[in-house]
Amino acid sequence: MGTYTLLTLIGVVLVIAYELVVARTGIFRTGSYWIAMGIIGFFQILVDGWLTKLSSPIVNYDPDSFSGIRVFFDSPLEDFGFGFAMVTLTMVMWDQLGARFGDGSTVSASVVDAGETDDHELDAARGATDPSSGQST
Amino acid sequence: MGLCVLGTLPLELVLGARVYRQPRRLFLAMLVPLCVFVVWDVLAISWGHWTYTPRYVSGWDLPGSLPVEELVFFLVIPVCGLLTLETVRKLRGR
Repeated sequence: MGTYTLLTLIGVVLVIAYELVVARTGIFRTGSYWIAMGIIGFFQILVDGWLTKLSSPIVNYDPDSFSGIRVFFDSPLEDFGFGFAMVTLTMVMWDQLGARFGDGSTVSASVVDAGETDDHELDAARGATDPSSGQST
Repeated sequence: MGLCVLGTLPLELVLGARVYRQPRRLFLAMLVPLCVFVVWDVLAISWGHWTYTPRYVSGWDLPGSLPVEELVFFLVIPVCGLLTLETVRKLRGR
């Protein structure tokens, strides 16, 4: 447990809180988000592993700053929190911007779609146009 | 990073993810995360959380001792993430 561990925990909590309290796009309730995160996680294992493998590391970690737990190809566990926070924050902001700056495919597709994500996508569209949630930052 | 860009290009060109085709939305969505995580990286470098093996990086550093490769990383990875998300949504009928 070190400062990288602490920053990662803070980063992950802040991103989740931003989505749940401020942005409220509903992305965590969509299956597509979790499937995409699974795919991204798989590729992070490969890319991060190539950066951190102890046999010839490109990035070297201070042992006192992280948990000491290395997973897969010697990647510090914290890297996955860092990646989760970075990618999720980008996706949430992408969805927030969808209604205003999208090319129309996002919102119109969700309106005609009768699938499981329908309500959440509509929430997303509402959240992005609602001044009380979308503009507060 | 080049492989990441090339590897995800078919998601846009073949599967129609429509991420690069919304440049304004893409730019705005990336702006805040880019700033946040570049600041995190600069702080982590200054606090010695991690260092870069000199022979594997170009040696071109941006202010804050940030290797130019890190900036590329923060530009490429979020785009790959959005391409993945939009492709999954498209294939599942959103």
